[in-house]
Amino acid sequence: MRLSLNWITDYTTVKLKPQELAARLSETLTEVSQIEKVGADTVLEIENKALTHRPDCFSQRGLAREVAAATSQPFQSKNWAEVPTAGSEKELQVEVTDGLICPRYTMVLIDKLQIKASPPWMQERLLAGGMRPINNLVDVTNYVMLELGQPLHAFDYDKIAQHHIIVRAAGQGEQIQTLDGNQRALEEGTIVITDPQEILAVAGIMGGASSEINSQTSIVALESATFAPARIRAASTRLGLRTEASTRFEKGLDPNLTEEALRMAIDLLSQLMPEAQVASKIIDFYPQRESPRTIEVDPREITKDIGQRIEGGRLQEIFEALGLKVWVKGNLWLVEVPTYRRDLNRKEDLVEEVARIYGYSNLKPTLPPRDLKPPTVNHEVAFDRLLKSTLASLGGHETLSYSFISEELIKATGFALEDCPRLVNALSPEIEWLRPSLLPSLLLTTQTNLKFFEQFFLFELGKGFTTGANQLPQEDKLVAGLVVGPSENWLTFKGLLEAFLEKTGVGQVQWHKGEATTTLYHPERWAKLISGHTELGSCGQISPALAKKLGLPESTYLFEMKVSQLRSAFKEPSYQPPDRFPPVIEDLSVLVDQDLPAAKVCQEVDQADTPELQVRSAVKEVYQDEKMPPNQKSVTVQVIYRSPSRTLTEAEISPKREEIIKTLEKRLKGKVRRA
Amino acid sequence: MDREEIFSQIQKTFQLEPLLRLQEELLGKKGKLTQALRKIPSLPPEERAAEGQRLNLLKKEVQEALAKKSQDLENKSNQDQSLEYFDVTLPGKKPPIGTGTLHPITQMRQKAEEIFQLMGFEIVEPREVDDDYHVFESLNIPPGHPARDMWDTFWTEQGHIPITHTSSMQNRVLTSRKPPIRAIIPGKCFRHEATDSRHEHTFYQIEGVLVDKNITLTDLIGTLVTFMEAFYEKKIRYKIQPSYFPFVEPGLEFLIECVICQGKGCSTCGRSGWLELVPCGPIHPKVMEMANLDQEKYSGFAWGLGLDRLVMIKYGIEDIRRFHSGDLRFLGQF
Repeated sequence: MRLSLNWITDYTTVKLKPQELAARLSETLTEVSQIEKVGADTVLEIENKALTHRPDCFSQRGLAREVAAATSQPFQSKNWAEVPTAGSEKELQVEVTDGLICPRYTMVLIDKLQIKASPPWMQERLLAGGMRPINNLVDVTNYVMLELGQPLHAFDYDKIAQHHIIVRAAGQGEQIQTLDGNQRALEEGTIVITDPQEILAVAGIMGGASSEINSQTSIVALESATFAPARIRAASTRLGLRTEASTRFEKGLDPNLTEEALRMAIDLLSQLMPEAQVASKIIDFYPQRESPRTIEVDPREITKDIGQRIEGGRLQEIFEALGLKVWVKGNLWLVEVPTYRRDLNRKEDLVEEVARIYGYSNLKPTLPPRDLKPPTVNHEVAFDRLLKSTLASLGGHETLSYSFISEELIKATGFALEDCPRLVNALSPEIEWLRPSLLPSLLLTTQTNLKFFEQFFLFELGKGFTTGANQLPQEDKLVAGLVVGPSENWLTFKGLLEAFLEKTGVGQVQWHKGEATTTLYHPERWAKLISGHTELGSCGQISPALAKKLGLPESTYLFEMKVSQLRSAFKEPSYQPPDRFPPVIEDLSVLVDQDLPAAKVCQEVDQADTPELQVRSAVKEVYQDEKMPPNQKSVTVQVIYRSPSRTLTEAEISPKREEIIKTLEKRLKGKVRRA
Repeated sequence: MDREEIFSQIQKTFQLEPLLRLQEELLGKKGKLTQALRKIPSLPPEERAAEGQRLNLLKKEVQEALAKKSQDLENKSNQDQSLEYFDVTLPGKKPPIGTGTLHPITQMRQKAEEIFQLMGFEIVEPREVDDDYHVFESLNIPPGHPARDMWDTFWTEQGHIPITHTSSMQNRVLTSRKPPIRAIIPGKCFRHEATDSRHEHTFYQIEGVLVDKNITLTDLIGTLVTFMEAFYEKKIRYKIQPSYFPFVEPGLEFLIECVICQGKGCSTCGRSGWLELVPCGPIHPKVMEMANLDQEKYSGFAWGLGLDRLVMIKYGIEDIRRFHSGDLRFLGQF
């Protein structure tokens, strides 16, 4: 919105320099983004976005009132003469079908027009207000709109069939050719101005070509009305038409403005075209007259809400400067709000008026009182932090990627497209689907990074989505990672994951060899991670086909786990005192079938564990050579014997060892290689 | 036998084995010194005494120097012996995978969260995709409200919204807790906007909400000032501009003096000297009403802090698209 310093002097005195006034308005009204010289005038560009609730500020008069209040200067209102009764009245009928879509419709006829250019003073103000001068009639309507905020529309009276105006909602399939020459299809419900034959205008947005004013026009029907803001907004959005008029109508105009605006227009027209005559009474459809509202408020409540003591006299001054009236009724005030301030409805609204004019910079900051109770800990957030910092400490670089990915990538990585929610208004096909997994994004990122690095570890903690039937999509927090590099192999990757799980307290993880074939993983080299009965997620080497498709090296390893599952598998450390007596540690090698998982050997060894003679084992080495029988391998495990009560002797261990060997030979058909 | 040369050779030997070889070359049975000493009797008689004295002294000095060097070398650890010369400037060997980093947005989020936690706020996380009621209606933005234009929204086929602000959790926080309520809601947000160096359709926000008895406008100002000063670890200058957001009344914009140029005007603050950081305000009565809060008893305020901007300002990041690039040349720096 453009504020003309020259224009507002019609209403108030501006004592501040433009820069100072801009700074003051930035504090009391909203941001002033620019100061611009337009001829002899200076224009302040006022940010629109914070004035959505202030249709009155889309006018020089409204802004002048704000300037007066902000700078403690008097505000002088203007009056326009009553409309002279016409000598020769022309016939005009106005019919509004629904007061809800059009609360007020006023119209007047003006005869004996002489269309020509408007005078320089008017043109200068229009330019300052950001509008192009056209001719004296159009310029007057725009001038009134800029000054009062009420858009006017002029119809050529002779082009209105039967001189009968109808305001109604459009039905299905109706069309109009607008002033700009475009043929436009109207959505059902759009408010239209019609005569008995055709649509003359899209109400509040743009007139039609058929009733357009031209140099031949001699009688004009001037419309000044109020329309339902939501309908105007919906129509202007659907038509893709934003006009000076629609911007104002969609904010909800004061119905009491319409007649005043007509009077101002008549006043200006009679100055610009002395021969012009009013050719009708002001026709007024206004079934529900709006009167000023009254807010009952305890002024002490206002200062209490602000948090600072402000004198009652100052409060009253502020209200009156803004055009409000105050009646004192005991401890309470009755504050009368003029109808142009449609945003003031309750105490909180009055608090704002006081605070902004009093000046936020004059408020002394305070802190809310609080007790010593610490805030509730969000364990989920704390656990996320643990996961992220652990991955970073293991060399991972955290990435954040878009929650949206492409159809192509979802399909390429083998996820089910039908389970992914889709955006109807995506910016591009690359970011059209809500991602089911973080891995596709990581794979994409890896492609780019391989141009500059050959070995790295990326991870992300974020959400994956699944469509819910008629309900919100299911959101799962996931943690995923990707390791790539020439020196990476399954064991270095697994070691990394083990370190991650150990450091984050996710205990007792079993690695189940993946059985089904997946698009993501190498058919042989992937695993499911299980803790207790919960599946934490999966990990493995990239499938060679996918690697080829994405141009990634085969030594690319991936994992993805559900954070909620990791958290449920989390265990606090359970303390064990260090051994009081020295353990006995020895190696045991056994030849077994080459397809036997090495962990099986340990499982069998650990069967020998008893409270008095504890046995724990771990795989130390696996190898194969030509001296062994075919399809056999050697598994060496380290066995630790402990006793909680004494130092073990060979005599005690020996039978235990024999028991273990027997078990291995019997259960695994293994051949223990005795030292 | 040049004395200087011998000592320089000993000096330049950094390993035990070459030192032993050198010892053999000098003092062994066929060593240079040994042979020179053997030749003394064949010298002219007038030179014998002086040369004998010189060589014997040299032999003694060489023996001492070798012994000392050998001891020095033994004192060094085995691995050090592989170094010809101990060069402190050589680059070290990092683990092959390198050292990791947390995303700067994560780091900044954690810093902000820690301060707010100390101030008594709990952390609540939002849904990433939510319904119209939580994103708009419960925040006093009914369908058709012109304020909806302030948010350009993505929609899913099911009519849900990738959240435009983490205020989407406000109604849930206010209805599921009893005052005093103090919560921050950090999360990922979305707006339907083409990206360039200054615009991004995905961004991060920390919403804050506080409801208690006797909460004032000056409390809101004090809370934000306190946070900013803890965050920047210095006194800040601030100002407040009226703005408009349907879920607060009045709608305010909290600005701090540009921390880059100290208010002189620079590219970060768009030459204004001020950084627009926190839209905020007392919670709108209709939002309180929809959360069934007794407005006779309670009042509160809310704000939305943009995380991306804080990070960009802190590190002078010139292009907002870096955040989601996944580019290690960017990520590796933090």
